[in-house]
Amino acid sequence: MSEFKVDEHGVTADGYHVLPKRAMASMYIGSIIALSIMTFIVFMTYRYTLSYYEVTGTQVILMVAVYVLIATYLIFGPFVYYARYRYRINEDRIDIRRGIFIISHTVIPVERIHQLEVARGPINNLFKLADVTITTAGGIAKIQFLDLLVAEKTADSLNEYITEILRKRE
Amino acid sequence: MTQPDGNEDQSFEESLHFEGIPINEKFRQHKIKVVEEVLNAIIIAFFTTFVFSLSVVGIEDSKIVAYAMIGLVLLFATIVLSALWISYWRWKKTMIVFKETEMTVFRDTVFKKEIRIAYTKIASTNVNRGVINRLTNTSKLLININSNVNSYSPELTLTFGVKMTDRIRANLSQKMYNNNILPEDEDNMPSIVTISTKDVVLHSFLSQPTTSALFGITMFFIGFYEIFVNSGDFGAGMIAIFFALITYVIPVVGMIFHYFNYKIYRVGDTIYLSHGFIRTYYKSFKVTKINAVRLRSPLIPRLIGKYMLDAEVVGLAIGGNNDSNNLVPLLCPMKNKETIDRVMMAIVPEFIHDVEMKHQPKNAAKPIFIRATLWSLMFATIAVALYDLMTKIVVDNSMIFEQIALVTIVISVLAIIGFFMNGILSLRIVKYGRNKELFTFIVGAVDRKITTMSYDKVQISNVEGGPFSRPFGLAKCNISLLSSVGSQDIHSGYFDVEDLEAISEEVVARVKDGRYSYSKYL
Repeated sequence: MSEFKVDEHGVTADGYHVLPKRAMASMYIGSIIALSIMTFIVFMTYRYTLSYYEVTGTQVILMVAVYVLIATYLIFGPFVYYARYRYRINEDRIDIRRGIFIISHTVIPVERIHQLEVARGPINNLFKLADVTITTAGGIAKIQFLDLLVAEKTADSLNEYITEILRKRE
Repeated sequence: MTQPDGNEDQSFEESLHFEGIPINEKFRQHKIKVVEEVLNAIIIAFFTTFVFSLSVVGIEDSKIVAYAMIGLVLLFATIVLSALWISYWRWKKTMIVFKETEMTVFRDTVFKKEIRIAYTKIASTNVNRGVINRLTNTSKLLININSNVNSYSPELTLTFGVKMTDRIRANLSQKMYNNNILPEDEDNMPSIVTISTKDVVLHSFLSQPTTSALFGITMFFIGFYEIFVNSGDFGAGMIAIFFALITYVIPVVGMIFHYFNYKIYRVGDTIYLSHGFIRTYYKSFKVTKINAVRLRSPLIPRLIGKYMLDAEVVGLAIGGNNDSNNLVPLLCPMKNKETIDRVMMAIVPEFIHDVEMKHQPKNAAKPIFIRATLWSLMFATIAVALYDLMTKIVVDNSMIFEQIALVTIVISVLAIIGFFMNGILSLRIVKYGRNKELFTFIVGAVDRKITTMSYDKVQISNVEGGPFSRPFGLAKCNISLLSSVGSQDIHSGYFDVEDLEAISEEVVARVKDGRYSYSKYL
């Protein structure tokens, strides 16, 4: 787990940054909303559909199992996601490591970036967080839950760098 | 002002032929553009009035019906006349100007528009001739830029007389590709590979994915059995035939028409393709615009040693029916491996690399079979739950739910066998190899795909390890390329993380040390 240890600046030994603590709060609010909606749907389905039919024990066990699995994912998911989220931006590449079950390592060469966008949803706005969406010609990648100032700074510096590349091409 | 609106103005023709595109002169498209748009409006008007006419059904008061009919006729006429007026106005107010380094299209209507396209940004110029174009001796010129935004629809679609279109395309090609292929030369250029009508028919039948082919053929036999042998359930038979038509027959027939008269050749760095029966297509693109070359072979053709070759090229949208047939250029229809190798050598030698392909490591068997087991358990659970549910539904004198329960169990057993077979085969088939310029993924236990990509075209690399592969130091890699169909992910099998991370390391290293140069791919 040494790869996840960070110094006082929140940077790992190989230069990766971690997300601000309040990112986890934002993730949990998203999870709570999702869990509430799912519980409401399950309750309404049971109340107005399944209670009118003869449901067997196997089916009840299956439905409860699915509910518990999703609920467990929503409760523990944000903690694991936060703990594993790492990103690194340097002059030639952007690295993002993240995931709960499947851990992915995304590499975007800075040279390939076409467009940058800083976006904030209502929950992220509450915590002064933002997502940076990186658009390349072959798809998009996101650095999520960044501190708003860091997000804007990141987008600005990358934008400047890309503009410089484009100017050189002209 | 030159007025080449279909009358094939001689001086304009000559100026194009002898002096290139006239610089800074404004001209309009062919008038048939208006007719085309009005015809589309007539179809829309017909369906709109038809939908509204349904509300009259059942009304007995003849007066109300008469008023409604008048209203519908007026609605139809309003839509068509408005379309005519708008189309004519747009045609009249739209001007095209070819300049020294760029072309401009500007529209001076209520919604003003000015499109400027630098010749260096054009990825391809294609010509498309449909039935209306053939009847009126016109062609559509489609201009694409190198962007995934317009990978589905061309940046510009302009309609001119046939000769005019060919001249403009030839001149644009000269500016873009720096060659001097005249339209009359294009028809006389020999194809790299001889493709007969029999080859096109064979290709159309064999190139369908195995799942759609099997599903379509099965549905066809079920339909045939229900209608002619069982002779009891005509409705069920027709539904089965309908599924066979949409999943297999229509794609096959569409492909026969699409690739009829197929021809491919290369001049300098430019690849030229032409094909089509009712609608003819002329496509051209620079070899530097190819992001990946793919050798494909579904199960049945592979058993008889047939392969096909296609390429990922951005900016080939040709308007209208933009399915993958249209967007992904076919470099060689189904042929034996020797012919494919010969075509590859002649058309895309840049994508040939001699490198030892590595199988998935032995450890890969563990995540593969754990995954197969999990999927099997999930399928078995769903099958048991469905069986439980279906066998409890009792409908008088009907066996339908029992039959569904039985089919569910059969499908689940087949799926479970499929998961494990796929695992066993993938250990033998899935490979990965790379050198300093290119890398290749071989995937597909059933439908084989061999994709060779250039590091310089990789946009995003994503190495993913799941809970069952990480303990063994294995991961899968998804490569995002700028693709013919917008963007496309290309997946590898399970390989050592370091081996897969080497792809992104190489991509970045090439940018850093200057081996990648933007100008190389213009």
